[in-house]
Amino acid sequence: MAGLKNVLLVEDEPMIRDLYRIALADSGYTVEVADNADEAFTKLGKFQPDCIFLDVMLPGTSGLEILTELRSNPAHGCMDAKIVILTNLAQRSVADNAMEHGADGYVIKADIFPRDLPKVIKSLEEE
Amino acid sequence: MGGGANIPKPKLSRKLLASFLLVGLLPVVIAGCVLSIVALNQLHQDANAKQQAIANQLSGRVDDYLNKDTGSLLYIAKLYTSYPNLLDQSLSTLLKQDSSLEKVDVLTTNGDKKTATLNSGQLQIVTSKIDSSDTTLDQLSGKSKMLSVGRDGSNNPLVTIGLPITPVSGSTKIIGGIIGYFNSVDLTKSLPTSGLGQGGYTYVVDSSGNLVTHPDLGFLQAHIQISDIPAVAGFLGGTYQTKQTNSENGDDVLSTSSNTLSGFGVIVEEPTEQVYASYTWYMQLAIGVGIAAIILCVLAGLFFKTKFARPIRRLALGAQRITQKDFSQKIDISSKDELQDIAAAFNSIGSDIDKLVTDQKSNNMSLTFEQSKLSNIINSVSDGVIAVDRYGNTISLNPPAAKLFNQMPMHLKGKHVTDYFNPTHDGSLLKFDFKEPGIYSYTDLMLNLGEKTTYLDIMIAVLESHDNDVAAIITIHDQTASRELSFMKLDFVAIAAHELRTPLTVISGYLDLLNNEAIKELSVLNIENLQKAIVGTNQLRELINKLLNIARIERGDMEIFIDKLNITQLVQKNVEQHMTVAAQKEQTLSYTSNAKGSVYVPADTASIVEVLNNLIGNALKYTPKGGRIQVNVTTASDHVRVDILDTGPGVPTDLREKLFTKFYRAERSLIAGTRGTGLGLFISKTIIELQHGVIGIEEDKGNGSIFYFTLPTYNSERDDGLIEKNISGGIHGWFKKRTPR
Repeated sequence: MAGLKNVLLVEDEPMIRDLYRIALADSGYTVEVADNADEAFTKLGKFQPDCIFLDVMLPGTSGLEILTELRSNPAHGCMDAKIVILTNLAQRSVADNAMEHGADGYVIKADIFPRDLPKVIKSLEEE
Repeated sequence: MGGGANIPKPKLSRKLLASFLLVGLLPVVIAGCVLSIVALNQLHQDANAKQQAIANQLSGRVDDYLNKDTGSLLYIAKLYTSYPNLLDQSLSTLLKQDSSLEKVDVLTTNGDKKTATLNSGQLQIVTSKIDSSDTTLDQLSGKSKMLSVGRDGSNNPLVTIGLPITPVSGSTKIIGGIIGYFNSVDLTKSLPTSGLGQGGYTYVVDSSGNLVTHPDLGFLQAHIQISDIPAVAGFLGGTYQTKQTNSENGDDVLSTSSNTLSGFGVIVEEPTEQVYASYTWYMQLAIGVGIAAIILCVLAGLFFKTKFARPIRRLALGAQRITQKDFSQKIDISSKDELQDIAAAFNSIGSDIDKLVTDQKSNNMSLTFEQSKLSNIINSVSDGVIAVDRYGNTISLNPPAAKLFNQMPMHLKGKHVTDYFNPTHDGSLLKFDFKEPGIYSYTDLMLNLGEKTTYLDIMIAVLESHDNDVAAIITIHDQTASRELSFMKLDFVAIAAHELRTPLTVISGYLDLLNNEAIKELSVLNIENLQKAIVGTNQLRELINKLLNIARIERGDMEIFIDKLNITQLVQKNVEQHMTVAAQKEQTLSYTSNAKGSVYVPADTASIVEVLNNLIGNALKYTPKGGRIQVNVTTASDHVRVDILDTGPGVPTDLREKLFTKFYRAERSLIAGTRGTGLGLFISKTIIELQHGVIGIEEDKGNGSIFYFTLPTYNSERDDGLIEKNISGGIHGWFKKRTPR
């Protein structure tokens, strides 16, 4: 699959959200952001992302619950979208669990440079 | 001294006496019996033989006597045949010669009867006619002799001998007969009783059982026919054995009969009492010997009783007293033999026991005191203490132990420890074993009682023991509270570290943005300032990561995901990533390996990267400017070894042991002015050991230090199914899901 253009970024920490949005937008991606589950589902009603960056630790509905919903409910239109989990737990068991529920990979926020996010999307296109 | 009723009875002396009597008397009695029987038998045989001999001898005499009388009459008969005129003269001569001849009858066939007697020494002849009823001549006809016994006027027996008178010698025709009447006085006299014992006598009967002679004249005159007397009946029946019978007088006698040629029987009698007189003497002798033996035995028994039984009884009494806990008494025996030795030994043992008992009493007192002290100590400790025997049965337990099981101590005593205490260790039930002495410690045990879970450390001290002894002491330390506290601390560290990561991410992200985007607009000084901020942020990230790792190790949450890892490639790449830092310190960082091609290990990539970062990072940190750092991978058949050699100051020997513990840093490194938490080596050690490797430091050779770690080599059989980890597409912090092959 080539040409992952539309990116949805679900992250409740505004500074990180801005940082990642800027990094992705600078690289030419169309980025929509949400800071919780409700906002994310609202955005999905009018925006069809090719790739979703999904924070695990969210107020209210967690990132994993959103992931499960997105992968099990075709109404959201995200059955084929690439989903990358954002985490700072660095617990691989959490990440593995997410991947079992349909995630395509995970990013440890403290370890990644924001400028590397486009490279992440690129690596997902290589299949 | 009480308990007199318990003194042993003097059985031994009685037994001794009885034994002596038995041993002494039995042979005497047996010998006496045997001798009596033999003697009786012998006497009997002797008496028989003697009576037989006498009876036979006397039979001969009777015959001789009768033959002589017969011969006298035969002479007259023959003389009468030839010279009838000489009859009177010859009769007179015969009557005078033979005092026993009372009367002679001469009968002739013409009916004359001449009776000759001697009256006051003068022959008196009476001539008469033969009575018509007299059949004497008829009886004599054809016979050579007629013998019978008759009685005279005084009822004395008369032996009547009749002979026929024939014309010619040997003719059967008779012309008359001569009949002689003999009294039995001479016959009686001719039967002496010599050879018979006192009271022995003999008598004669004719062939019809009529009494011929008897020494008792009164008896003789009173009895004519005695064929019913046993001895006579035996003779008449033709049996002449010697037997014990009743005599004609009713006496108990030994009698023998014997027949004579003339048909008379001789009976020899001897009183049984007399026959066995010598036997009675034997018996008296035997009884006397027996009595003497009894007296001897009793005396001997009394002697031995005094000599042995009494000392033994004293010993027995002494032993009895010891069982009654009287150890102070002495046994006084001066027999100068083994018994005296035994008594001496007994006295010595008694005094030893007395001393022991006294000691024991005082020991017991101090022991009781010590026990109550010990019991107080055990009851007052806050840890649970259980004492069990070798089978695991509870002997005692203190209140904290009972409280742990929500029970009263007395309710658990005697129960097997597993009846109420079943902790688990790593998920499996702890098996108690109280056989091998030693001290066994178990930590992090779980005990589930109802809904409550308790965490325990226990120590089992197994002692050398016997039945009913305390075999093991189980000390239980309730770790639940401290474990909860410890987890709270670790959780706090984990949460704090995690919370720190968010601002760290923000800082590091914006600094990177500045470094990439705004760098053109910054002055040289600000660029340097920005770099310093970036370095500090990186150090903060490392610190936070390490703290998180420590918290996980402590909680046992360290995650290891084993992949098939290309170790040579990983080490080489890691070395390359450190090149920039090395270059900044003008250090030479190099990589060498003896491996041809790729070498694989089953390992968790992320954690091995962390170990390499720690070891190579430390080497770079502690090696002075311009120094050399060499990373060397050596492959062996079953493991891979990675050595990190530096030209730094090295690690003093005494500090090496502490090097891999938590929060340790060698002092020298502080002096050297470098910074670090000391957590890296502890984390690295945990990581390598979790993956079955070894980590350590080589002996200092004076030119820097050599850190190393090993990992087991990938084994296609054991590690089949592991997927090779792709480490080439490295975007730091990005982990892509593996595409199924």
